[in-house]
Amino acid sequence: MASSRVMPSSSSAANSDLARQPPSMYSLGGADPPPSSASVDDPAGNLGSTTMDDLLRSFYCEAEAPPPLPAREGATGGKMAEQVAAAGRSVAGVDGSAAAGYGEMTLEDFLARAGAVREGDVRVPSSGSMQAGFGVDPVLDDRFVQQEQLLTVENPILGFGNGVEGGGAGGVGGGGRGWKRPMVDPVDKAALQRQKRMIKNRESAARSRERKQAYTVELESLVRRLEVENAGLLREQEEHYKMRLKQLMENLIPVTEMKKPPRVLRRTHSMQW
Amino acid sequence: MMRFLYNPSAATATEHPTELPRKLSALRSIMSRDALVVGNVVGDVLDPFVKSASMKITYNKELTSGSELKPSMVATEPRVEIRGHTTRFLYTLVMVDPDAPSPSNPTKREYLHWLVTDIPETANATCGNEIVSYESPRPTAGIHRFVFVLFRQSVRQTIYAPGWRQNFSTRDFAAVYNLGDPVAAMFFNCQRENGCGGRRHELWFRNYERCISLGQHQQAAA
Repeated sequence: MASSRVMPSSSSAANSDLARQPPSMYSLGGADPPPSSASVDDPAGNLGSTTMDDLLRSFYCEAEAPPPLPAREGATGGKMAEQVAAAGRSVAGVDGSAAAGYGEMTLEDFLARAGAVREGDVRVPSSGSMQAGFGVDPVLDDRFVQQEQLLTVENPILGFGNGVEGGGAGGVGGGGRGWKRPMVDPVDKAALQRQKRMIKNRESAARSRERKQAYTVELESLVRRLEVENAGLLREQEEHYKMRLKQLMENLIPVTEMKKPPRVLRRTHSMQW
Repeated sequence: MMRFLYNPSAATATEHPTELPRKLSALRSIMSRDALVVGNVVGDVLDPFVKSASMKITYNKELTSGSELKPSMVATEPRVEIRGHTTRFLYTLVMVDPDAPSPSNPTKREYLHWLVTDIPETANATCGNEIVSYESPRPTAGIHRFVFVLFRQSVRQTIYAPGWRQNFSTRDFAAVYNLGDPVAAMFFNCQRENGCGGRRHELWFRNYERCISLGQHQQAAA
């Protein structure tokens, strides 16, 4: 599985936030995570909702100010979409020509690409701090590992395929290649797994909703088409009946004009006495 | 609305080139009344297009876009009819699986299952040139979409089979052979023969639920 490593701590919180936003679209008034400005999350999974800010701030260049966060309670689809689109655009801008992946991309890919933004800045200092082992920022670790994995998966891609994507990931991940996998806290690992599973579950839920909806939409349009056809055919049939009736009536008219002579009663075969 | 217009607004077309996270494309697909958009086929495999041909695909019975079929039902190639009035136009049919090897990890997107060219209008796919033979869909993980795309050829052209089936790109293919925009498309879903619709843990969950409710009853009785 390519993007098996999922960002822990801050970016995973943002991840879950990005993921959490649309469910609020579907079920407005569902329990939203309480907004807090601190970016502290405990690995037990109580991820603060804040880091949407951090994530967005990290995406934007210094010049641009991050857009105001939409009100959590009334997060409308429109605003969220705007924000996400803006974030997506800025990520795309950084990635430059790696504009692959028309439309569908998993959240992990998106955040991996987002990770590419941060990685570029911090690659040099992190290689220096590699020796520190435990002291390394787990956020960077996982992004590097993830890039590595993305690279190995995308290697066999040839032909008409996503060559551009492979090139883009390769360029960025090339630096972290000879790097040993750092130690990850077992507690963190469990949290990571949970995160990963949650994201995958959300995506598969979204996909199954899509599937159901696509079928419904198709059936509806089929029904409409068939109804129209049916109405047309019935009308045509009516017309045919009328035509036929008219024809028959024309044939009848000469007949009805003939009149039978009036019956006259006569006595036959009887005797009068 | 009887016209089959697959590009409801210019906004969707301009958003395409940028990388959109899944959530945004989900938003877009909700607002559409077309199965190909809602199912994200327009997006993953195709760009928005206007339907200009009438294609009828039959696996035992006529296919409805978005329906679910079993591998046993799609083991042999379907009957593909292109409705029309003249035999003047030739068509190319492509069948791909954009969710290979699994929809959550489509590293082999798209996997080419079938490629037939020079299909004359009013005729069946058997009248055409089968460049890549039909491969039965056998998804192992997840629920895959299988997409049929029809292109109208401007001339009778020689199309070469790609070296391998995986990582095929319908868009690039159309660009290379100058096929232009697709004229028709359909898709269906398919999972493993004994699949449970992706709800792998449902049996466990149902059992768990039952145990919980039993436990509650016992407590109430006590």
